[in-house]
Amino acid sequence: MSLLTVRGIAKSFGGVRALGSVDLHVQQGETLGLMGSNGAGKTTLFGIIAGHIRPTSGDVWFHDRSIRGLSPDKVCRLGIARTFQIVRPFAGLTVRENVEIALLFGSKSRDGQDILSEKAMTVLAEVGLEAHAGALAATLTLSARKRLEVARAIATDPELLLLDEVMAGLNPREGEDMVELIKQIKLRRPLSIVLVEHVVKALTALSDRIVVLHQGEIIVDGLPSEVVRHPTVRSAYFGDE
Amino acid sequence: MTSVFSLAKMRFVWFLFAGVLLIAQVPSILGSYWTLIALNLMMWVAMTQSWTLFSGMTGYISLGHVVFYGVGAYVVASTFNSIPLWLAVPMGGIAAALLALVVSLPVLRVRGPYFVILTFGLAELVKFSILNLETVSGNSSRLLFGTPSVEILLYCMIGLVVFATLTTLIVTHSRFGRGLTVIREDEVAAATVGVPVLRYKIIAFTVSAIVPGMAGGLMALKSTYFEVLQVFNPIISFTVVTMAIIGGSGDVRGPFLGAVFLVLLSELFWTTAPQFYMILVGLFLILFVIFAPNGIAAFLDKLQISRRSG
Amino acid sequence: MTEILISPQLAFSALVLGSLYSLIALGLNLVYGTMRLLNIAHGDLIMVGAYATFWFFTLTGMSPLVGLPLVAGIAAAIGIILYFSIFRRQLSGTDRVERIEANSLLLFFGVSVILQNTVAMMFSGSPRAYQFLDTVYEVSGLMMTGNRLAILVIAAILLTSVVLFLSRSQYGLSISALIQNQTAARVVGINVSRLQFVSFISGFALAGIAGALVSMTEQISPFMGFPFTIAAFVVIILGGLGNIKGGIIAGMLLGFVEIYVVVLTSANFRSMLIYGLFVGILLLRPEGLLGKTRRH
Repeated sequence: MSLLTVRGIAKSFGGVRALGSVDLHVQQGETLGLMGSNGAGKTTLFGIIAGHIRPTSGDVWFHDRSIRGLSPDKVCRLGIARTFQIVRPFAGLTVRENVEIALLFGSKSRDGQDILSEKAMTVLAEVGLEAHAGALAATLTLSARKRLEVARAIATDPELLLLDEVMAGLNPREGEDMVELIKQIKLRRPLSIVLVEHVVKALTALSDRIVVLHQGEIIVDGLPSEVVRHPTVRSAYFGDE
Repeated sequence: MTSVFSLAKMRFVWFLFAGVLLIAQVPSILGSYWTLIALNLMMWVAMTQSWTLFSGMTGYISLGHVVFYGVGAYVVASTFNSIPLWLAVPMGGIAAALLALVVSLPVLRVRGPYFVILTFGLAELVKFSILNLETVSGNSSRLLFGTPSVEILLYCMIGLVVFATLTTLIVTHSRFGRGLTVIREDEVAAATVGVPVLRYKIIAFTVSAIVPGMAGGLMALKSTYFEVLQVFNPIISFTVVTMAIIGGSGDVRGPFLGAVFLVLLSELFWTTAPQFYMILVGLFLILFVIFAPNGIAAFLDKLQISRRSG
Repeated sequence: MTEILISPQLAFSALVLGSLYSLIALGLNLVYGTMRLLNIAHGDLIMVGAYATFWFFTLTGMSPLVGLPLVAGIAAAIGIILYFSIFRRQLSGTDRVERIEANSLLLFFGVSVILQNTVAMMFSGSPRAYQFLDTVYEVSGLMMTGNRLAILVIAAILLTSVVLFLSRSQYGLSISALIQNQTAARVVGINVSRLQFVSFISGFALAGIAGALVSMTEQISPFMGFPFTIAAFVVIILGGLGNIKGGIIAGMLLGFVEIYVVVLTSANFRSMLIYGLFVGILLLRPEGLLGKTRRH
């Protein structure tokens, strides 16, 4: 029984078809890699799952419950968290307050300020941002912001984590750190992850399975080693071979 | 965990309550002219404080706040001879809140500048609708005979100010208030981490309508006269927004600072050159939006910090 | 009743009003399309144009038509002052786009109040009017006053010239490109800030001209601006924000709707209609256009 099932999801914006008919599923505990060129529809898919965008047709099931049309905050409280491709920290709040908000609203806890702060610090420690706890989120570097984004997401106690191009804009060293971070998070928490990435190395390092989206449709679905050898993927991604 | 800000704020609030008690003495000490000014001042504080509760906290700037004021005035004026005032005035507040609730669902889905002009348009639409209603029922204006004394109205208005200020204080320190603040920061991200964005906006919007609704009723009683175009005047919305920006829309002190500032200004200029006063108000709005968007309150905070470190 | 409805008289009035609305909307669309600023002081620029015309006419007897360039210049000058003192600073800020747009609204609001009250101080608050081109011409049963005819002709000329300019000339095409997609325009090497400046000024100038035209047939007062601003907004939203041609068509449409509705109901309903449309359109706009941070 899948954790997340996407069946026949399609989305058109005006005359532009962003997603054709997408079927995929995520098993409990697995990390699914999602790859595709720009404009393939990956962020749209995330937007639909997370509740920001209404699909033109199709449905999304989470734990056998349809979540199509639910507002993003309901989706979050059901156990799906997401990060954004272009990070959206609460710039005017401190790093710790960013996490506190996620704890306060996204998790089941209703703690007083002291316990809330402690929990926030624990989450920050997980992503290596404890030192920046009191700094305004606006002052962080991109790499730190990305980690804050992840911290906020995991603070909501999700069962499913949607990571949208979390490597984008990071240099190779920072990228490696991020891969490490995600690996650590997977070890510590019982999470399923859908990982949208361009950086193929990260995808193959983290994913149990990879799905390839091309012009709004899934064209490949399989193990990383298979996908990387697939002819369509090779011509779309690595140039004609 | 107390910071410099909460200490200063608590001190300010104690000052305020002391000040409010002082103002309550005005009728007996200073006479009717000053009582009217005090009433006016309290009205502006109440209106601006209630505006801050929604617009200040969520960042959804409403240019239609006067619509709640007008609705409250209309309720009181139209039921003047049939319903006791102690019932009619709160009813005005409830009617305003109902209006807010009813329009909130469609209206609060609109973002940014479109929301701003939408609120303005909505207020005008309600104005002309009620105007038509009054014309059709044969009323060009209504006269109210036997209204309560200005002193009593002042005490009621002080009550509204206390209510509005306490509400804002409680909200800013609550989970609800924190949710509103991040809605202002980034609504989409807030929803993603579980903040019930639409519900919170609706609640804040609806609650923010109660005080202006009652204030409108009280002011109708003060002027003993109700005329639609006067009571739904967009200048009132504009003044409230300006007071909030000048005073600072971030916290409870702002409305007091802004209201005092503009009321003082109007006392200087209104009788001699009302247009000049309005020009000054417009200028101040522009200057503050550009140079000091967080108002005098933020400026005072900065002074505090530099004094402590200096 | 039907006779009144199909009378050429009514159609002519609708045409005149429609062309005015189209002109006004054009100015607003230029500013919005290139800078994403909602100028709610637009109606007050119209008012300023009206008063400037009135002043020149009553003071020096200068024909409003001759004075058009002068009035356009005055309105443009106001635009220049505002652009450099206020909006340049706003646009270069690091705040999110929505915050800038909402802030700009407040700024324009302040400008609006200042304009209204400055004029009220200079000319007193009571309505003024003057007589110009009053002679009535009759063409096959249709009675037209010279001034209305002039409005129609001038508006038509201006509208066509601007549309042609935007779609044929090099400069105009750059502006159209800018309206379509600012980022792409920049990439292609278009000087965005210069074009924004030009469009901003032109929008103001067009408003001033519209005001001059209005003053020929209507009473003017310092607070006449608001209804025009609202109508202008209804038009540009109806026609599609930034859509120049759409705005022109919508302007004509609104002119016709307004005239015919007032005939069928009453003048009181006119305000309800305009604001009702205004609110309705803002509420019904497709979700995709709302709250989306446009790519800048």
